[in-house]
Amino acid sequence: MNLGLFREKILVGDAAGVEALTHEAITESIPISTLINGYLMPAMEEVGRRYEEGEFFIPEMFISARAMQAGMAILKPLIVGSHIRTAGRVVIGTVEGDLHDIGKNLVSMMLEGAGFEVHDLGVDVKPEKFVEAARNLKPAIIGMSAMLTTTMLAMKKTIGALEEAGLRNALMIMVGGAPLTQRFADSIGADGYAEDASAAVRKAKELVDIS
Amino acid sequence: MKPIQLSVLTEDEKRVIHEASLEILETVGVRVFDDGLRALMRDRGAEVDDTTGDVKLSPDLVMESLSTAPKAFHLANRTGDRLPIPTEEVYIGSRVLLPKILDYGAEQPRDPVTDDIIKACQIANALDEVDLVLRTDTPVSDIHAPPEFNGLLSIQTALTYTAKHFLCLPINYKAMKDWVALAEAATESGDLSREPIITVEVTITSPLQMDRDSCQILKQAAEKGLPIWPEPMPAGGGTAPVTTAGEMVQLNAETLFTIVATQIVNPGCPVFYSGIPCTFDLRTGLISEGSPECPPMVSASLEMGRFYGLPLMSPSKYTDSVTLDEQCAAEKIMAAFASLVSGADIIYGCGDLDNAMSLSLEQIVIDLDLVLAARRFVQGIIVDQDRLAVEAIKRVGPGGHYLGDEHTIRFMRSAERLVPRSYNRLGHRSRAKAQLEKAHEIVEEIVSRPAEPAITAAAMARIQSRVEDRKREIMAGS
Repeated sequence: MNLGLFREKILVGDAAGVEALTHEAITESIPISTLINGYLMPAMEEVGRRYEEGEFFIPEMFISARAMQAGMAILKPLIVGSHIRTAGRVVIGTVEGDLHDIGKNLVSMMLEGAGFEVHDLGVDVKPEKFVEAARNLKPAIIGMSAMLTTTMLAMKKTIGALEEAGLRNALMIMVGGAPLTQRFADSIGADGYAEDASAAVRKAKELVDIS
Repeated sequence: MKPIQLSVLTEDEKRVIHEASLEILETVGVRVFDDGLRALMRDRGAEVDDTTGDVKLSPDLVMESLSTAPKAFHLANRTGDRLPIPTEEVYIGSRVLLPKILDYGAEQPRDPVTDDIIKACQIANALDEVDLVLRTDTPVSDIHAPPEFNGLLSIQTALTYTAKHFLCLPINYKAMKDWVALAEAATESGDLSREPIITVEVTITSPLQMDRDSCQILKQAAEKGLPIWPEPMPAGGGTAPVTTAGEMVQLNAETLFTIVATQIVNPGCPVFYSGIPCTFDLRTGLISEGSPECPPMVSASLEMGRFYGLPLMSPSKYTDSVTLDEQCAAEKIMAAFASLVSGADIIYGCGDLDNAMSLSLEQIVIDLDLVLAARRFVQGIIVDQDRLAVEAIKRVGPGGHYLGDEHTIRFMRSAERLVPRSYNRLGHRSRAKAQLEKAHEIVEEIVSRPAEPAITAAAMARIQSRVEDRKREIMAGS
């Protein structure tokens, strides 16, 4: 089979095409690590490059990531002891009292594109839900998003809850959203702040030391 | 009806958008995160799914609710004036607080302090054409009190240093209670339905969601009979369709939903038609209020409001620029022009920069000139016997001049002539060469005067007493 088609299908965001190719590759016993490390991830790196250079718009990146995820969804259950490159596990959510999710979704998508394993808790996420996810999933990073000047205060509350649960020091905390600043992030004791989704990926890589 | 109005939509197009919005409200609805509001809407015939929270409205329910929304009402300030709505004049609003303040000459904005609210009130008071002010709920950094009291104390400052009508943007239900408590104390009668000195913003989280706080704000404001303005902020490509027509369908549905909810809570409650059309920048993922698509959508949304015969509110805040530059001027004049030629009754947001994230006092002065210039355009050219001035032309004759003619004396201070405060018309003789420098001189002249409370000692005492009550309520968890 022509494995080069993975790149082509991902670049045009053809999820059904990637699914079909993935099934075909499994039938032909191509190693999962080869598929992921050799084809899916490099295709997403190319998507990232095109976005960074202004060639791709966000919706194009979005459908590419969705196509890649269609392949990953088939491959994930089959991963047993294979050597798969992952950048790290991230738990992400929009904080308590806030329903704005588009910024958080963009960051999730771009982190996935960069090889992170992202667990999205959705919107209006209470501190205890972040704590529960931190306990069960043991992420390298917890990402919090807020769009409002009042709800951003819930970030501090969440960090407090993680501290109380004794989980704070085992992970990195990233925050973002329209009203936030580096100063605010510093003042609540977050480890990282990013102004936009691309910067969030760079910051996440820096925090898990793979930049 | 304003003398000049331009249209971006034909009557047929307005009807098509209206019908498309009705279809969205009937088949998709709005997700409402408050059990109480959902129950009220169900009682009045809305189709409610308590599992998802989705509330769907039949076209009949929408039209019936629109019929109870008043076509005319009035706002009040605390100097005894009434502001009749609708108006041919357009009321202009300036901002007194935003999350950041950009000082003259500064490259970076800073956190706001109490003195910024006082200075912005002084500017609003000094500029006669500013009819109302608006304060965004955001923390003020020098209030040394528990954070729960921050909003309360900054509202107290704002209500003390200007008596103009307030557009308030409560960020949650607690802030709404602060507003109502202090505004009631600020009136003579203690009755906000008799003296509506505040108008309340109710937000919708696009696409098609109303969070719990917004629902509770809407209920409290409507129960009190306070004027309400819906403020959906759909961003085309991200939280709304990428096409301007599609965004109009969604914005119209979101605004109509809010209007229906107000009329269900309190039939006859005054409500504006409004909304802030934005775009989602598909390269950066950031919201843009200053994109070239915004002004035609501003016009279109106001035209939809006129289609329903409702009073119209529109912001003048549309700029993505973080500073007072050419981009800021270009974006703002387009949006102000679009608002005014489409018949806005209120245009607010003078002073805003950076998508209403930062406030500049100089920008208030500049924006006011810009809005007045747009208003001058809308006033148009009044052609009547007096203004045709045939007799004056005959009197002066060839080679004369009009300086001493009684026709000049009669009209020179009328609305025929607008004198912008911040424009340089002295050429190189002007000490302040650029508009910004001139605006800064005006600001300095105003804020260098001692700041005086704009209300009576009795009103101040009533507000202070209510602040203490409210502090106790807050500490008790209300």
